[in-house]
Amino acid sequence: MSAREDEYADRLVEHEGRLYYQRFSVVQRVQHILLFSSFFALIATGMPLLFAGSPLVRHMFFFEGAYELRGLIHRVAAVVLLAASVFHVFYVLFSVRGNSDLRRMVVWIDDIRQAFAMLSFNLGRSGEPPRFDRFNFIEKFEYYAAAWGSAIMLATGACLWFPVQATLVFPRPVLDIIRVIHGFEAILAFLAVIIWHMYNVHLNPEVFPMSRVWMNGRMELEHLAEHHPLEFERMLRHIPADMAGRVRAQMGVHFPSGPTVSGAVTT
Amino acid sequence: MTRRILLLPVLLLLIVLAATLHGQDTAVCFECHNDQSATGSRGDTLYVDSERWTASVHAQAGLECTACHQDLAGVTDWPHPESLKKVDCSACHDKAMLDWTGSVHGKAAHDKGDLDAAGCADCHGSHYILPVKDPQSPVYPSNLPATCLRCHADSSLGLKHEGMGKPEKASLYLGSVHAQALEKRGLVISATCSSCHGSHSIQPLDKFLAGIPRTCGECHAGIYRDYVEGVHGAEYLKGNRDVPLCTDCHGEHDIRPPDDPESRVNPRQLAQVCSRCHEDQSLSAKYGLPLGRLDSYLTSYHGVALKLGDMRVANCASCHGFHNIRPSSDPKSPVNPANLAATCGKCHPNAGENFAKGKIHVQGQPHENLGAWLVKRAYVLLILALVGGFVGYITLDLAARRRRRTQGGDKEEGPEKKP
Repeated sequence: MSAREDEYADRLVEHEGRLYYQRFSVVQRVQHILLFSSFFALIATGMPLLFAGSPLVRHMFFFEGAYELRGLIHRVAAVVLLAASVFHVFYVLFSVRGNSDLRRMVVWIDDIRQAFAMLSFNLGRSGEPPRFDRFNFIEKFEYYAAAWGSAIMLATGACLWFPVQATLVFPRPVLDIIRVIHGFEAILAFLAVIIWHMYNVHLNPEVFPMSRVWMNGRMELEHLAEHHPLEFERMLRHIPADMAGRVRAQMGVHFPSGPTVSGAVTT
Repeated sequence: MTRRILLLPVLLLLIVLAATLHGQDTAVCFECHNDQSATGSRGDTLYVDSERWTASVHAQAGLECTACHQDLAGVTDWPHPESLKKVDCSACHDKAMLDWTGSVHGKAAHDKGDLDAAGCADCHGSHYILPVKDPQSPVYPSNLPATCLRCHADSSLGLKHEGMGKPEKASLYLGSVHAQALEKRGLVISATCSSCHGSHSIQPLDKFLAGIPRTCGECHAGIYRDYVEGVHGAEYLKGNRDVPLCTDCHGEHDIRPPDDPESRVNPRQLAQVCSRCHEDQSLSAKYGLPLGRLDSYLTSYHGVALKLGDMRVANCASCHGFHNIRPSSDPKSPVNPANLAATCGKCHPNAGENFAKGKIHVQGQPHENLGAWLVKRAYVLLILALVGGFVGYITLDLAARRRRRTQGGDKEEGPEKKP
């Protein structure tokens, strides 16, 4: 896994005189916005079907044509999610930045080790947390969960949208199974987002009330150095020496000391 | 010949003479009774409106007051005695009287001496009776409901007389498709009270019920034909009293068109109407009807969409038909396996054999669709495991942070590491 030459060309950004690590580019942020806005629209218009008996849901459908509107919004959001997903596949395969992130997203044996290391750190058995790279095992898990979930939901949703065409391929009992999958996978995705993602990016004391990375793409260098030390160090090695000096000067006392930082040139 | 020629004028003279004499009779009555202020000893009015009397069907037919008030015939001493005998219509209207005597009204009046029971005058009026075909008549189709409801919407009468039915029930007619046709469009052939209950010979409900399909079929002949072709109607003809009659699905007085949200056969209500019998344990045991139809429908996509207000989705009738419902074993039934694809195809164009395969009314049992059952179980376990994992991890994470903070660890304070 040799990093590409230009991998860090645009990852150090200046904003109001301070340097930041650019975690997400504009294109990635737009993808994320499309993903979660379509996700919430789909949840809001899909979940009522699973709880059609509850009074709360009945109140949602108080006006004439509410159900038809629900279906329309659900399908429009589905098309948005599909478009974002297709774009994302091309993006991670063929764009410099997308591909660089995809390579760092691959799961290795290290991730398993780090998961256990984190567990023992949290249990108080070891004094140091594991040293993460650009994406830690939690973030990788989230990424694959989102990708897997989207793929399942899009595929099963398409079958439910076009049942007559779908049954050209398989008999209707399979369509019934697909309906079960569509419903339960939705619950799974919703719970994952509500519990897991909300904790990691909102309620976690580290970022409470909300991490702003999804909006401006910028991560504090101190945060990067603490939570993604391997990525921080690799960045220092790959940026011009004068920039590395500026990083060190800006961080001052917060600059990680010790032998871990090689290539950090002091001026 | 000459005699015959003479006979004609003589006859004519006699007729004219008779008419004028009778005319004089009535005129004599009106000398007193045409006075609006005339009252009897009890203060009751004695007024009879001569103009309205003259327009009445009896005056038009040339009848005199004494034709009905026979106890005044030949009286020459005025004023006549106050209390007169009750007028007996049967002198002329013997058939109507006979029918009435055998009816709920006549029996109550005769057998129980019930003064509240409707007699001739209560519906037809007395002095100013108009022909039934006259739009002003109280028994003209447009006016009949109001005439009957004068008593049958009166709750005090309803409480007093057993068998009158609940007063609010009869009033429901006013909202029905029949009443609306009568009222809004002046469709006088639309069913009014007498169309179903009869007029003079109204019978109690138990005598009336068994004939309901034929009664409705008098106007709805095509529907009656469909009904007796279907399983419900065929059983009805055999004398089976467990099957639904028209009123069991459509209601009685409150019959509304299917597109009326209030209608019992509107898609919103239809499933509940069918399940009154098809979810009934004893009927199911008696006829081997499969249970769980309603539940399995309401949990299907169709049922869910219907619950949330989409009226376009399939309801019971969309697949099973309605008036001529046939069992699925009948080759003519729309839910016979051979016809299922075509039935689905009514809403899902080009639906093929594959589309119609598998059980329709499923309740999530493993034998119905093993795959769906397994997937559901697997997902429940997966979701529980995952949520448990999430919550466990988060709890651990928060607890560890707190511990590190209280132990003076500086993990929380910032990323600086003290060498």
